[in-house]
Amino acid sequence: MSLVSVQNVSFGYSRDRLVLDGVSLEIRSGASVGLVGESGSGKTTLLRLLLGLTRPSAGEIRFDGATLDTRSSRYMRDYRRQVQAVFQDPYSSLDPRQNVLGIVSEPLRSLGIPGDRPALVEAALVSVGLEPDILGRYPHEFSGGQRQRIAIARAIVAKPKLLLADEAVSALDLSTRIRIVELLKQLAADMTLVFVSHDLGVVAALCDEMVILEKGRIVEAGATRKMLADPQHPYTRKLLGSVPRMPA
Amino acid sequence: MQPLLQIQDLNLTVDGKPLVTDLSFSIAAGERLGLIGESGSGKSLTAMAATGLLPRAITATGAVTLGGQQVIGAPERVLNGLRGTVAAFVFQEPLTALDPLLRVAQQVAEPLRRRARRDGHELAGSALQREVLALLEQVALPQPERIARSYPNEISGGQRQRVAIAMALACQPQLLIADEPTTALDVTTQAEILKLLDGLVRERGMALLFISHDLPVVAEIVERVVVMQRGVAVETGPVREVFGAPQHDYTRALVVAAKAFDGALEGTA
Repeated sequence: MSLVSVQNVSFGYSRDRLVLDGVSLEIRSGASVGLVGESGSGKTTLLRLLLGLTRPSAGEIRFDGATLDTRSSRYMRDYRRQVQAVFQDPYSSLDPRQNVLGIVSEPLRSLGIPGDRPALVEAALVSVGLEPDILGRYPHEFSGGQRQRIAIARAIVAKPKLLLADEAVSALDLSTRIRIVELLKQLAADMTLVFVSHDLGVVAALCDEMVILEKGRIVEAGATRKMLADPQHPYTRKLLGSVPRMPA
Repeated sequence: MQPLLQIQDLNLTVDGKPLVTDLSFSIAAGERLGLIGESGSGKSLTAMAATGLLPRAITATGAVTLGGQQVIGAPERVLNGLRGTVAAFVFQEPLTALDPLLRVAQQVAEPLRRRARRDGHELAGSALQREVLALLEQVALPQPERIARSYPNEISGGQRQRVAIAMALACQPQLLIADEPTTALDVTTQAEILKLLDGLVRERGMALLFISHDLPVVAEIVERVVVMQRGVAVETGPVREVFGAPQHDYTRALVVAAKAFDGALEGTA
């Protein structure tokens, strides 16, 4: 069954210029889906809609069988518990004045989730490959890759069903990037992952399915392996052909 | 023959803290060299040191010779003579490299005028205008008249980078230094800009110092690479040898990571 159903969704800041134009997409529970596109493709807008930060101009998004109702604060509180996000820049996404315990436990506090917070935070840190004894330390003490692990720990601490990642490894160095991709892959085994990226190589390494967006429309979607081996749309072929490869 | 750029035992420090340590390499006329490293490796600082653009707080020792002229400690007047003539820069982010308040034509005209003055004549009016358009055509910009009239915010990222390349070429430098010139661009645009740079460098017989964290990108455009890690050159050699059979652990880790993403694309990983 679909966890997320995007049904004929359009979005525009003005009536005659649509950022997203009639996008439909089904995301199975447990899937890991890459949303791939270049600048202006609408991939970030689609992610904002999935996060409930913006409302579609037309169409509907359904989550777990019910309409994503951004106007209902009660619905959104429950939605936030189910859906969490990781962003691109681990330097701006962590509050420099809060320690790791404060940062990672924030969703537990704001969503009013009961339980032993330090214990939940420690468990989340361990599952992202960090030592549990860093609770009292601050973001500036960590490298970019470690910060991104902290951001991921914050996203999974409330055990969401869906993890949304927006270019979550793009700001990281190559050797760090591959380790964070491995971590996300491991986490995606237990939840649904939507991974927005311009980087086809990363999506190929991480996602079973991918969706190619161009200028607000989906041009091709399907199983990653199949699309890589036999791309149908000329734009998919152009994208694949543009990725620089290592010399043989 | 003396190399175009020679860096010997370069050490860069800030408050005694080492940023670049005992770095040596050289670029001959017409040669294309890649400087590879992750963030904090000192690759961009090295390029700044090559043209005397280092911030004051950074202390440089060793020898940097550009076009036969010692750069470290040279007065600004001498350095200004080298910039443009011997070496020109293309930076990562074309939006910040261009002046947002000037039309493209005005920005490209400035280095052209400067070069003309250097060569001993004045360039102005319609002659200058013609040269601007010719240069925009050389970097394969569509509708050069329209682009010339535009402000940087009115054109795309790829077009802005082409304008920045045109400005660097305006002075007919012997060495083009490109610092992550495609990192901020979309992948399809990146492919176009790499092709353009490759063609221009070959046509004009320019030397190229290409700085990047992206191994496959570097492999497409240079012959030889220097791999830097925390300010130290850990491996140097022809690109095919270094990427094909890396000797240093760090290079090996980078190559393995880059090939893993390649493998995923090929469906072999």
